[in-house]
Amino acid sequence: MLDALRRLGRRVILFFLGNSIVIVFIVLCVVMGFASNKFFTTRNWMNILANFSVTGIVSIGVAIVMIAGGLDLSFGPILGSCAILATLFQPNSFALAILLPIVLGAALGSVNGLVIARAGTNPLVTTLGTQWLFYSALMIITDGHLVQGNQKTFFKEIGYGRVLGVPFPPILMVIVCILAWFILRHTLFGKYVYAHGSRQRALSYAGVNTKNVYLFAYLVMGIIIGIGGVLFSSREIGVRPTEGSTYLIPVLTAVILSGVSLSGGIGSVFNVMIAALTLGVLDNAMVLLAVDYKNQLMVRGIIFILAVIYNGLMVMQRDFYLTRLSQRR
Amino acid sequence: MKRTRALRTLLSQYKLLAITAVLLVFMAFVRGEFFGVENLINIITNMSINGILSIGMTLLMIAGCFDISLGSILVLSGAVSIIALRIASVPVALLLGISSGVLMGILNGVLVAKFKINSFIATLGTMVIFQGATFSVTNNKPVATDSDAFQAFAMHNVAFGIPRLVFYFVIAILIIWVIARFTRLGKFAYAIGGNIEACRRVGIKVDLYLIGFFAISGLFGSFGGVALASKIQAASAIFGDNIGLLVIAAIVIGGVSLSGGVGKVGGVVQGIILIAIMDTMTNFLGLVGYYQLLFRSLLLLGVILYDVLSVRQAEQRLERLAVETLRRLERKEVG
Repeated sequence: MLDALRRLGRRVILFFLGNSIVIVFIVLCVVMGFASNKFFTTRNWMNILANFSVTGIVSIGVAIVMIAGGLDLSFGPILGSCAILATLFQPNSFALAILLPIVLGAALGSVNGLVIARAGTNPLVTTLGTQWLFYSALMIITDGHLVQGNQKTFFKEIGYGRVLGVPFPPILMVIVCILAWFILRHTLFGKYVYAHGSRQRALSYAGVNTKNVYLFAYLVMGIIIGIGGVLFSSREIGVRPTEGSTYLIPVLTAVILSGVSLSGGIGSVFNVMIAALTLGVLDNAMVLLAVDYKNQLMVRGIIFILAVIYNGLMVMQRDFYLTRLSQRR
Repeated sequence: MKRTRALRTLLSQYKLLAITAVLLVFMAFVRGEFFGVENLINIITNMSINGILSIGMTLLMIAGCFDISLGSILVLSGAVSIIALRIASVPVALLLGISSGVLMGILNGVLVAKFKINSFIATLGTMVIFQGATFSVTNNKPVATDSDAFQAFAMHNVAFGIPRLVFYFVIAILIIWVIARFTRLGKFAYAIGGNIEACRRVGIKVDLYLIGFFAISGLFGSFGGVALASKIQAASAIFGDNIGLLVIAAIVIGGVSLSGGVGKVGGVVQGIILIAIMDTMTNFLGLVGYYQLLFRSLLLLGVILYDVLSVRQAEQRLERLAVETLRRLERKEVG
């Protein structure tokens, strides 16, 4: 009995040391609960959830690539072009408006994957180049204009519909998250992704074609961003080609906050979702507490850096704890 | 054999200049007015600020780190100097602006070296902080000045219509070239970029040097920021969007490896010149708007692909050479 309790205690401690974003999220929520009585209302939470679903979905896609040891900066223009494609086809065909963006996302994602995997270039510079390539191509094709869709189609239900009183966007986010979790944790490809991130060479010595792992990781990312683009398009009256790029900083922030290691091999998609929610709660908190708009960006940056430092300390603590445990045995 | 090898190294060192030359010849045939004195002075003036920023970050990139927050350092230091102008004299304002950049660089360096945060993550965070700080100090609006003395800092006509800015760029190149080539600081940059763990074992104060490289990058970043503020007489938090990434791309095009240890100041200068010529060319050919970014991204992708492929080829050549030598030795032993 006592032994079982002790084991449970260890697991709880290890969980919180390894998932520091959960603590940050809980503390932020509790503080906000005391600071503002509007915070824990259903309406407020529906707002947070619905507004941060696109960020959450895109973050999950980017996280998969980063767990595989890559990096992506080009998701902004990919999201923008998928959303525009969805808006273009939305008045005519519901199925095409969903299918085509996902195909486009997969195609653009695998362009990244192909270059990085086949030529072996650095992911950061490569996706920096493709980011500008996609972005400038998108701007030249659309001439920088707003693309408008039809407001009265079934397509809008994706962004504004409700299932049992819960808005559909967060449900979609949870579905994507569970799917990503299943792929990462319960398929061979997922095991390769983690292995590729932590020990690429070992994986190739084991006889796995490591080039394909990168390619598939970027492909899956593209598909998930395509889903995000569909959701984004259905929540807006029209989409500007510049709008996808505004997600660059929030998405990277969410992925890094969640504790995904930049060198790969470590990370959990559930934490990524919670990190995206944390950003949503933070934005919401600054509105509720009436933080001056001009100071909001700085507050966000400072909290980001503090959370990264905190995460580093927790990981260090966990390593100490683990070595102490193993020494005791 | 020897001659082709020499040609190959020559080509890999001066490939950017070669492309520039081809572009210039093309322009000479298509648009002769490209070579007007006024246009040429415009080109070098416009590339000077980006040039100063890129040259300043070169040492940091050689040491294996980079600084995405450079754009935010640029706008914050510009805003600081313009706001300081309201209460202080021009030299004090300039000094305040530039020293604020050094402080921001040191903050970046401490986060990377002491807190062991990856430089991508750390400078992503400080990028948001510095840009947010600019929003705060400028009250969310662009700030402007009409001080002629302040404008003279960058735009004073030295000779033949060439502004001071260009000379600052030349001096910046000289300073960084001397540091990289002849000083211990420069040698340590290559060493740290090559193998940071080995440097630590040997007893080089890696943390201190890294903070120093970040501070140099911040110094040149804020110098560029103050010069930009002086050139256009204004500062705003949105001027710096993307500048950090553009500068990193320019340095990579110039042949500095992102993982550090490799690169030359001369290469970076070639890259800056090529990008400036390309940008002006697209304007001259009537391709306004996002064609500049399109060509820049194609150049970046082309250069990194070329670099990777040439490294692979060199490796294959070495391998072939090794196999040949082994065979020759075997034959000798048998004989």
